[in-house]
Amino acid sequence: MLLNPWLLWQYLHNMFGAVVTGAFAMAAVGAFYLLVKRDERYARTFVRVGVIAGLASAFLMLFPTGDRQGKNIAFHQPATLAAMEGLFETEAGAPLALIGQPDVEKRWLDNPLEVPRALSFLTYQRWHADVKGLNAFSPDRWPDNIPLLYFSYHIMVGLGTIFIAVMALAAIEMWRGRLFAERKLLWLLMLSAPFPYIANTAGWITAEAGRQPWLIYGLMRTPEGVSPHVSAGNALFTLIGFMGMYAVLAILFLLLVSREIEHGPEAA
Amino acid sequence: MQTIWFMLVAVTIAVYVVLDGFDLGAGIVQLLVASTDRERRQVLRSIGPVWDGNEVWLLAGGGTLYFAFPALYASSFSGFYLPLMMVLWLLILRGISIEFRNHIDSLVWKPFWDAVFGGASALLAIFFGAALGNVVRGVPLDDANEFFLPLWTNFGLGREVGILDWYTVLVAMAAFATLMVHGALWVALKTDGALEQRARRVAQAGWWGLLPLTVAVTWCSFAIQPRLKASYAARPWGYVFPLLAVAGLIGMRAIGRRGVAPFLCSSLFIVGMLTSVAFGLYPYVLPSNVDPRLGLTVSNAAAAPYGLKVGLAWFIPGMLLVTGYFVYTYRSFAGKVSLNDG
Repeated sequence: MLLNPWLLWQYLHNMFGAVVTGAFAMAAVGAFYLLVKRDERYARTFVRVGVIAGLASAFLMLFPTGDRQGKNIAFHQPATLAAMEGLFETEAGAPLALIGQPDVEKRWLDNPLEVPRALSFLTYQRWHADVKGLNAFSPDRWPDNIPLLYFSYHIMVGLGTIFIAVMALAAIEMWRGRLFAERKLLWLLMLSAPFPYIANTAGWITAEAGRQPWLIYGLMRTPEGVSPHVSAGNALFTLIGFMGMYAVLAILFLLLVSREIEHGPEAA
Repeated sequence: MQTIWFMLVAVTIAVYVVLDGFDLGAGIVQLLVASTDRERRQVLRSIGPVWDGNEVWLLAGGGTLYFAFPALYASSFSGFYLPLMMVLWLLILRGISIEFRNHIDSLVWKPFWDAVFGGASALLAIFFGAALGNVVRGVPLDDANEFFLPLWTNFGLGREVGILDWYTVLVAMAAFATLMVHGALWVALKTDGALEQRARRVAQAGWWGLLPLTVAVTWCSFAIQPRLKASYAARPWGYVFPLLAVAGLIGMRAIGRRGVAPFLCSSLFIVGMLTSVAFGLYPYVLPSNVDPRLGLTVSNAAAAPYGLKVGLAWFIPGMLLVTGYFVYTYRSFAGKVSLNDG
């Protein structure tokens, strides 16, 4: 288990994801205080720590941890990689799709915006390398929900790239000593706060939807692991229960966090 | 090897019940013994540094079960699907009520979370008791050793049993009383003044409820599960386990009213009761209530011998580490809690 090729990179990717979230939340609270002109001494510390940690961790999410994850997927779960990238046909010099909507029926990507040959290079470090498309695998080995997998992966990567850009911009302005007066950039930092949560969730969905249709990749299919005597009604009941529980927790989280922010750091 | 793992799982579960039992019990008695906000905070602080560590023993129990007896784990986690999910919800509610209550100082907020804390703790004690009752009574296993139990049917003990029938409800009540006394003794041990006095009184009153429940549960268990009688008849040395429980039960009253002794006796009672059950059921880990020939045993539920051997080699240093950590934690927080230091 400790020698599993996924362990190190997946663990680090996960942990840096948490750091990104914390850094953005911290920078956002600081930016909010600066915008409303209160607790400014604390606020500058929040923004400074948030931006430095945010830039470092957002970059580490992409490289090396995200990069190594992608190579693991290409090597161990090639059908998953093809579905994530919306690559339906095997290609030498495969493009990297930035935007586009997969049409699983017709087996192509609608409205694609692509970087030519980039997928081949990112996966194999050769611009003309062959990347297997979904057509290389029989459809019963395809992930069951390709659009969900494609979109959650693209949301994660797209947001991750934006995180690096936002934090790099803030870091440059901070280095030039102008960040704390740049209200537009502070607005941007403040409004960015929810997006790491979305990126984390999208990443989780990518991993879980991506390993379908397998419980143990290549060995045990998901339907083979179902408890034989638990009825769908009972499973739905507990699903609703969990959804209710998490809805309550989310409301309480927002309530308490907004109270704490309102309260301010001085009182603590 | 399978028997060793049976004992290890039994010990892990017993340790869980002793440890998490007192903080569940503290939750049960909190509303009874602590009336002011200050006293309630004192009760919470007595379990504050340790309750989440105690709950990890439940995970350890589940993990050990999964590792050593995968067939039992698969069968029981599917069969007890509904109550297990509810236990999860209750654990979540209990955790957040401890964490949330002190965030807003309001006459609505705090009593609400205190009530959630007490209610979830009480229901958890009842669920765990009912679970134990189900294991003793047995479940309707099919040929593939699978089953599914609804929460209740007609509360009778026929073929169509539910999680709750009159027997498992009785065990649940006994578990509730056990943990209530256990928790009250913990609170008494960790606090002072009027709060300690009230906790001692609750423990003493609870003991008089615990005594008849213990007698009733023991009698009914032997009546319902013939295997218990057979085990004790075949290996009479096993009577040492019920004797431990009796010693603990009497000790709670007899050895002094102060200090740590009554709490240790209550722990001994819990360990004695659980090991008595484990000894009585052995070699079965989950008997069938319909057909005595069916049932999961240590041999047909166990993992492969090689894995069990390797696992044991890792389990021992792991347990030593955990034990060391727990000794350290409890020593660090030894003595009574006061609210003046922070």
